[in-house]
Amino acid sequence: MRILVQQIINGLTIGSVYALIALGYTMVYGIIELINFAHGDIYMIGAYGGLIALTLLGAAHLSGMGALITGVVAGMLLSAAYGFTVEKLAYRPLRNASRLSLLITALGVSIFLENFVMIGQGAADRTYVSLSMLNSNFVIDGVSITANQIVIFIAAVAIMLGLDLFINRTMTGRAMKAASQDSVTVQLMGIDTDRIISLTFIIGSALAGAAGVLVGFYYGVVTFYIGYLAGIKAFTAAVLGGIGNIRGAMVGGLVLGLLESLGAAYISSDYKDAFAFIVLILLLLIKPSGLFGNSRP
Amino acid sequence: MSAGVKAMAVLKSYVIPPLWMLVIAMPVMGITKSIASAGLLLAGLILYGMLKKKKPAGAVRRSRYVDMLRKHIDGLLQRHLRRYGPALVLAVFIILPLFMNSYAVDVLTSALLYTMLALGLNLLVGNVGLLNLGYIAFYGIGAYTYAVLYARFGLGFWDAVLLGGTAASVVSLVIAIPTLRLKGDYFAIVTLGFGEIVRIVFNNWDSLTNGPNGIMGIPRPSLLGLQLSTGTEFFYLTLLFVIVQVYVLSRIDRSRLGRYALAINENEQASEMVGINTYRVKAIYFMLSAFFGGIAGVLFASKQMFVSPDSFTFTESVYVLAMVILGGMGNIAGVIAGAFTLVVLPEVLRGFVVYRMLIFALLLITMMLFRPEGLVGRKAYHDR
Repeated sequence: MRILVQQIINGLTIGSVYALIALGYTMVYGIIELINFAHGDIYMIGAYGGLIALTLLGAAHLSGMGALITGVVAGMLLSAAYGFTVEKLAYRPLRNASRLSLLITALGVSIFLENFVMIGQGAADRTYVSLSMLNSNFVIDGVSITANQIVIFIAAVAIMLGLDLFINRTMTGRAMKAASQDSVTVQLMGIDTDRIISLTFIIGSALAGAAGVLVGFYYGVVTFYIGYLAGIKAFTAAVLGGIGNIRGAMVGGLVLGLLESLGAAYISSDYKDAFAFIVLILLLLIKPSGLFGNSRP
Repeated sequence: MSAGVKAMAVLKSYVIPPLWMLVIAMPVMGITKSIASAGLLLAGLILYGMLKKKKPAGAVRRSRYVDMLRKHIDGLLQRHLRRYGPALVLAVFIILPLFMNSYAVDVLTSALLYTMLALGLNLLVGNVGLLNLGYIAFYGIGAYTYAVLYARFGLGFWDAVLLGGTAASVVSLVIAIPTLRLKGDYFAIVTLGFGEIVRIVFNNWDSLTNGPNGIMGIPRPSLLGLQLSTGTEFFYLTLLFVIVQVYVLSRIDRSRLGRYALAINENEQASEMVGINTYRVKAIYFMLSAFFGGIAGVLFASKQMFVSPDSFTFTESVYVLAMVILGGMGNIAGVIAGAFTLVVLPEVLRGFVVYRMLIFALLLITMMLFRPEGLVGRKAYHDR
């Protein structure tokens, strides 16, 4: 029972990170039907962005909360800048190209970003800034929860609520939603779809950047290749929730996190990383529209 | 155009992009490297602007002279290269290793192995237009078939060639049956997942594969009672395999099956309408592609005399895919050229080893932007 509760807590923590990254996949796929392979690397850039900002400012001078917020905001900004640039330089010129070309370009961008960061920041593991505030540990009846886990969960939920409000309540958000349903008609209604697509990349990347910084605090190290596995898992989460469906991606992330941590505890921890792939394959074969439908694969 | 508008245009296309690059690269790359990258971007933009300006404004077609030149070169290529090219290349390959040191021969041998892989993957990507992102798994299955069966039962090389190819294509059939129904990029993702699962299994099934440590002591093959132990001998063996593969592939291209694949690649719905069983053709191509991958894997195990899961990562799959794309999808000569370029170039550019993958990624992206059909390219059917 204790193991179960512990694994559920761990699963929800990592699941909320997957959810944050999955949102970017789902939003981009919703509008331009591109599986943005480079999205995982945008997440990695976010993690580095937070680390670099905190190192420059000297985390010691900042209070715990101040450092946390500075790190997350810096990560979001850097990721958003990279997401925006990638879309503009690599994806926009291919708007009418074949999907194969687009997918290969996305692969190229992913390799580029990984090596770019490797050259700039070195190939070795980088130790993340450690905030004493996040390291406090609560033990309740043998089950331990760290402050870090609580922060990740709360931050992720807050960001997702904000996004949900933005998408459903604001003019721009509704335009985004409409563009994902029918981009041609939306254009006829006088909405600049190129701007909407840019904005989608900026928001999706910022969310991934936030996830990157939060995970950096959680695991304590970052490297240039963390984006690949996280990206694939988040993509699985997006498919799980029905790709193109924003609320679906949130739930998909949490479900995948739970599946993974329970699978690691009860089936085999060696095959932990394979669970996401198995879930993904089974899902695409059996129910490609995901848990909540809404898509058209 | 007024001066103000012109200044704005220059600002927008030549000043803002490098500045933006400088700003976003600074945190990651530090000051010197980000200035260098901004400078490179500026140079690229100016070059692109100059190339673009040469075209007459609004012209859709290339200039008449360029067309004439192209036709002329195409004619020359067709007349001479098509006839004598293969024999010439072959002659070079047979003679070259006699004058090279063992390291260079080793590089050439691995270029040949990658050629086998790229040609195998090209069957799927180039001929029927399906993107396989886990192709290296079949290479791994071939290599491990030989390694495991040798370690357990002392299986010989030539039996392993058949068994490795067969094992890979049986596995591919199991995957093909459900996945071929999926739409383009979903198919790509499933193959990626499959490739990763295979690698994770190699890594964790300790009792069979010896986990991350791999299997050592795989022997070199013998041919007609002759033990092939030196690198040069092994090179000729690999060359033999490539020749057979190229022959088989060119026969397939000209067969009924090859025509079906061509039709499917051009227009799948129309092919279905004229009665081609597209599902079956795709499944056959998937299996053939896996078969060649498996055989290449057996050769690889025998060349290295060692296998470990590290040789079969996603990066390797992408690398092989890049060879296919660089050379030109669907074109045998192009794919061979692509494989050799990507194996030999990094050896030449040893000094740039850090920038190797970066250059390679830029190559992929610019290729898709400016020449998606590859260096040699496949002509549409009506151009032939």
